[in-house]
Amino acid sequence: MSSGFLAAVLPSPSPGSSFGAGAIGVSFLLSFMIWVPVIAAAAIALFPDPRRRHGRAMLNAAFWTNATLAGIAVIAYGQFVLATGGVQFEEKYPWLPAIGVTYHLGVDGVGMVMLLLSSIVGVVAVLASAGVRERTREYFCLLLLAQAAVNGVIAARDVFVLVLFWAAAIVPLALLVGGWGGLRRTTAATRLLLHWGFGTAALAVAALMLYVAAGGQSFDYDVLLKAAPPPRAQVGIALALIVAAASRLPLVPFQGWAREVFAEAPAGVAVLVAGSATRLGGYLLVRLLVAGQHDGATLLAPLLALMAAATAAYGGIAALGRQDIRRSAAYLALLPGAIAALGAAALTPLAVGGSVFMLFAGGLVAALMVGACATVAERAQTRSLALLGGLAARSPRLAWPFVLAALAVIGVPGMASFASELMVFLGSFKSQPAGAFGAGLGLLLAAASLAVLLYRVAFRPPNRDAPGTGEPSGAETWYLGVLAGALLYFGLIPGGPKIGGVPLPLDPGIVNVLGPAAADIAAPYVPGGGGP
Amino acid sequence: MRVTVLGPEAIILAAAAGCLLLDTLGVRMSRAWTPPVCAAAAAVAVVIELAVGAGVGTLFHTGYGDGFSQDRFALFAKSAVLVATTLMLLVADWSVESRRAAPLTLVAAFGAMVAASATDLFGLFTGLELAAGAGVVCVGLTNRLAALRLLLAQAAIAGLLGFGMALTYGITGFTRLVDIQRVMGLEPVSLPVGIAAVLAIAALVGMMLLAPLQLRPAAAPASIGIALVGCLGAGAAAIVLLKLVATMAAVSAAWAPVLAVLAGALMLLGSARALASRSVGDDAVFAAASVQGGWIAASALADYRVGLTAGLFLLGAYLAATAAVPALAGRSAAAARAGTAIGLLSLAGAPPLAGWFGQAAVAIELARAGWFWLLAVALLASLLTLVAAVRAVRALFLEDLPVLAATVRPGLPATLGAVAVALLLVAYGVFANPVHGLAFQGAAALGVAR
Repeated sequence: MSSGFLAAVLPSPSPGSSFGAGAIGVSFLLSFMIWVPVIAAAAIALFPDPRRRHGRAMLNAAFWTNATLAGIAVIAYGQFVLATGGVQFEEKYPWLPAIGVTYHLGVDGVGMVMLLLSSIVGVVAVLASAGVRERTREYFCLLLLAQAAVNGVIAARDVFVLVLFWAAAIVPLALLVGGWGGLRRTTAATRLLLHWGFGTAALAVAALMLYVAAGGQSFDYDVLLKAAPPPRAQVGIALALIVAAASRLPLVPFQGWAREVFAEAPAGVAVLVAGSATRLGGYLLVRLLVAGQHDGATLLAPLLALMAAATAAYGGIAALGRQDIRRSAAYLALLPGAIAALGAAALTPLAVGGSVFMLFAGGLVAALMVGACATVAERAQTRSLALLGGLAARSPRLAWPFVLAALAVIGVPGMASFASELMVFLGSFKSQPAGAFGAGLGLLLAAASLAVLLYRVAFRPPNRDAPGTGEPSGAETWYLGVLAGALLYFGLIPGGPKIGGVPLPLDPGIVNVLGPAAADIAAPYVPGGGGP
Repeated sequence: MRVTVLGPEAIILAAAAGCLLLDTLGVRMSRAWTPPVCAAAAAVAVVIELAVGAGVGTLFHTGYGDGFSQDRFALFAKSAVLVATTLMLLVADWSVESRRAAPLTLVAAFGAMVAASATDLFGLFTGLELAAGAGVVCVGLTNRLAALRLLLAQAAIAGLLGFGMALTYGITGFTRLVDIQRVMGLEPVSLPVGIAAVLAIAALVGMMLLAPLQLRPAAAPASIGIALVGCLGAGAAAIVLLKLVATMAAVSAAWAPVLAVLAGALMLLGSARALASRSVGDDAVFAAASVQGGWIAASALADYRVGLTAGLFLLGAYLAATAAVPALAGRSAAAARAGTAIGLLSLAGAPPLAGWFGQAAVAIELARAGWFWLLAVALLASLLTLVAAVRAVRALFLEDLPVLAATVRPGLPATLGAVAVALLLVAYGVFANPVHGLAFQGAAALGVAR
């Protein structure tokens, strides 16, 4: 297996000093990240299981597939060449040359960080799904297909390919929510379909407008992001991109699906949606809006900042009055996305870097929040905050991640969300003061909501009439632990571990990886930085 | 060469006539062997079409005073029709279908092939009516009332089309498409020309979209008649529409707004019907098919050569999906459910299936031509259809199947057919370049200026 890892990640196109770099002339790492889950899903679908007795085998297959991908992503992250920057692990083949479509994949620092997030969340989502007992074949098939689609969006360097994978995530996730969710699963799945479908239509319109404005010859990022459509067209494109991103991230007023989906989806699906699938909205903002539509982004930045502030405030306020722990978590999970959107709206290098870091940290935070609350509800056999209580005393293994999730949402120092929030707020108070103030207010409201939630769930005396809360299973402990550990690790050493001149190959430091790419994206907005 | 290029048509016609004759004479063996023989004939015809047809240059006139031509358009359309016919014959449940349905399927395929290679109005009309008529007869084998209703609707539509074509002949003085195209390029757009074009095009859109929507009561238990009307009948109408649009490109100012409104309205109608449908089978399938038919009609509005390319490209996806889904829907076997799910999702335009690639190609051309409002309508219709398709897929895989459906199990040919449909719809996008390239050559063969 290790040779497989090396074969996949060694062909770095950068002539760095990495062992074996350039040994193979063709890079297939990103295709591997996309298509291996698809192949695994097909294998699971075709695996003979007439009496449905091999559910555990399906779980294991999905876990080891995602673990392999995560291992490869970690090695690729470690091998990411910081000095050269730019797009790495690139693959480019003509697909539909008549209309300018290329199978073009590649990641820069921003993409690499997102790929790492997706890999971590992928493993965690499978672990969180260990309790699934019904129709495991279909469940893990769909979970792997969704994972492949998320990776595809991140790796795409062609807008046609981006739209393809963006849309491809919808059906598997809607089926997962609709098939394995709670009582309101049908409503949740329909809302997810309609909101995400609407966002996809908006993205398709934006992509086509961009394509037409750039001459209608190519969908490649290299062409589209360098084209300078007329300002009026840019505003239209930017507006469509904001709608597409807001429906996925989500931002007010396109958040209607989030409450139902985060609250009704099974834990593993909620983790995947909150952790990586929704972060693609923020990724879209950075990748296509900020990087490509300079006039449109500048003009619509206040609108985006306003939406971010409204989302943060809405999440904080709405979480206050809930009596359902999963719904509270659903509202609180909106906050990281709002902060990331604020960073994208600020259009300064620091804020854009913070926005990308927030996409990473926010994915972990949102996944931990909705995952921990789903597990608490499952273990306590109730979602009612009136009945829950005494978690810290009854189930310390569950209480710790729950408390860490609450702290991470508001960005307490030591958590990855702290560093990213700090970057966003420092970078945005000057360019988007109203938005930053509104988002800050939202965080304050969220802090109040979290204080109430923590007290009611974890620290007040146990309710004697309520069913007892059991300790989490091994898989649940692992998935919550991995998320909490990652938040602490990247929060404590965002620049990577440094020990007396000893290079640690696996972690160059997340801010070092994303920094140059974020700076490149934001450069046109810096006075004298070559912008419009 | 002149003989071999007609090989596929000869095989299809001979197989259909032979099977009908043997069945009429009451030869016992024919009842068991008719469907496999017809499927084999269609499969052989595909191979010959691809081998011989591709070897012919871009234009080769033959038969009936050059009334038919083998060009790249005919190659693409006929190959797609024959593949769809093969799949349809493989997946049909012959334990409940009438044996006469198999040769009637070949007759419909023959009609679509005639329309695909027709060079004049007479050939187009004949081919279309042959395909549509075979569908009506096939439906009538199991449900006479539905067939009667369908016959009346199609007769009205055929009358409209015939009147439009006659008016076109009256104005231009020609029946040959090339001559009509040349004359229309010289003349300014006049009211009669506009009326002729609008009548013909509206009739075709009606045939593509409205006729299948009326079929719901004809469903149980046999479904090949439905597939015949929705797949080969509507497919033949789409073929004729693409050819007529290319012929009347010069007077597009007259018919384009009407076609846009018709395509948009019927896409919305189809999607609303899909959303309202409560069954996995016929209703949802044809509502979804109507939406995709609307996309094909909309492709005619884009700049002609690339628009027609996109339309042809989508037509291939449409034929493959509609050929199989009606027969597979309602069966409990895993392969049948997979085929149904993938077919339905393809019709709804879910990625990364054939329908998505086809619709994306049409969307690109609509955007290039500036039809953004129609694009928005089409995207909305597809979104609503996707909701219906996902609901159907959920019912197929994630809910307990009804007892009746669970007892219907397909044989080996149906299983192979279902797997083939699923693979075809997935592979269509992966190998989009050669398929799209052939569609481009097909559109170029229609002789439009750009």
